[in-house]
Amino acid sequence: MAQVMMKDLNKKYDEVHAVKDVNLHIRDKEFVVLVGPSGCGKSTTLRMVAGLEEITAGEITIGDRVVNDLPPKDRDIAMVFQNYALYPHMTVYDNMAFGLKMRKFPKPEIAKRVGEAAEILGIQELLKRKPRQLSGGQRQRVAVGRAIVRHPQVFLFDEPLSNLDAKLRVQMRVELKRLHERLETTAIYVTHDQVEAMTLGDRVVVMKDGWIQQVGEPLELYGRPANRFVAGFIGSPAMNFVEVTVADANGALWADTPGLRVKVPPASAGRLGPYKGQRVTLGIRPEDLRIATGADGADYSFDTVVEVVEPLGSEILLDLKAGPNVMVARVDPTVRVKHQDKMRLSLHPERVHFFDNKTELAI
Amino acid sequence: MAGMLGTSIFVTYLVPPTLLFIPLADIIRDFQLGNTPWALILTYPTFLIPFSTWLLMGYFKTIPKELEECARIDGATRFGAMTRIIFPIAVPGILSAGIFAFTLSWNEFIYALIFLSSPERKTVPVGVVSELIRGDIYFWGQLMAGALLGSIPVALVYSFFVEYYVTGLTGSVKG
Repeated sequence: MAQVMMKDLNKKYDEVHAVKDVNLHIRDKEFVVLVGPSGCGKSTTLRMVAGLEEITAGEITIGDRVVNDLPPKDRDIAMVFQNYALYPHMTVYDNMAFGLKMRKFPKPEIAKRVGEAAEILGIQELLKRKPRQLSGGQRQRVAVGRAIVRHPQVFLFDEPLSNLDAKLRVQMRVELKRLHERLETTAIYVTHDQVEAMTLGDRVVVMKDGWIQQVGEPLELYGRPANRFVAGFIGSPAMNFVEVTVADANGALWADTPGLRVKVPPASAGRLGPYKGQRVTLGIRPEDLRIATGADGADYSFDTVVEVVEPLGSEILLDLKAGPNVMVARVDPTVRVKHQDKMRLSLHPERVHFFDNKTELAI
Repeated sequence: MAGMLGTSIFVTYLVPPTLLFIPLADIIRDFQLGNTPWALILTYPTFLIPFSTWLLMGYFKTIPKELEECARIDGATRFGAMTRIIFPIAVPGILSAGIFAFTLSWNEFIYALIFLSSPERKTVPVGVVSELIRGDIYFWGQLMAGALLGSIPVALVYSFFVEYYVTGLTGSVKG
């Protein structure tokens, strides 16, 4: 059990600056997910914690030890790789026992720990098999088992579910979460899948181009994204963005663009004041758009034309056009609409986001 | 860096023995190793090492580097990860390199022809040709028998290790 601290962490390859000034305090027993598009530096950060990449500058502390110069074997960590990295010439039992054997544990203790881990993961019958005789999901379990037998201070996961098919991925996701609740070990998990990030993480770290964009609890990231990148990255389908001009009329601020004119909600009006007459980006999530009813005021409603209807069973996604602006709305599955239908939508005034066009930061 | 090393090793393999035997003959004479097995033991590596290195480089590239990394996290040193994880996985590749090295040495002609002179020391390919053909007289029976006997060891080696040999060439480590 340990906390992990990263202080001004930097990684430079010859020409690429892969990780830039990462500061992160991962608390004891916390499950932290690093998420971002490929090449954002999340895997490099994890590999620096593991000791597989040298640290260009900065400091990593695990527990109360600075580990910068410790080899991976002395860091008391366990890692699960995307391709599982099971030793192909060993049985499942030997794979799981390898780390303990290297640390010279007595045989009965090894047998006990491997037995426990196998029971937790439901792989007791597989212990005598070789990795090539296992299915993808079973290999994944063995890889996780190999990590947990060691009772390490920190678990590191490098996209462990990416090689599984969609159904198995959802199942393993739940199992990993359950496992973490049971073992209560600090875990750092890298993924490019924002659904995995949201569902697994106590806290989520969004990265892009080597920079941390935002650190927060999943719903905090979703509800109050710090910038346009986080807003667009978290959530599926992604947030709708429309460039608007902040206009002053009738004593109130309006977000105005051809095809769309809505009042700036009172909550945002104060902060948008300095942007009067300027272009900003309005962001609204698909589920915060709804079909306007008579009760909705005209201030938050606008006309659209349906371009594509995507029925998903539990909901319908509508690709719409408000003038030249493209957006997606998530509506009730009972709604009957078809291509080219005209539709009046209304947006949820408290859930409108505004972003500065230059800095892309939330206003 | 590794790529350059690989290329330079491969380039040494491209120097033909028919050219290389001239300086080598000089060295063998200086050390007075002519007509001893050492003449071949010391000269064959000039083509065997580049060839095996080049063959094994390709094979080692197919072994995922995560295996080594995982072993290092599991508690092994770099060297330990190599001996306990990478070498056992590389056995098919090492065996095929060995088989190839054996075949190449067994069939080698020019160095054996130049560095060995007494009939009882000659290797089979050289001996068959130089001892069983006298001028324009061919001892056909002995020639054929010699050729057959000479091919038996190679055939045996291949048939015993054919499975390893195939995976060594196709080089697949799955799972």
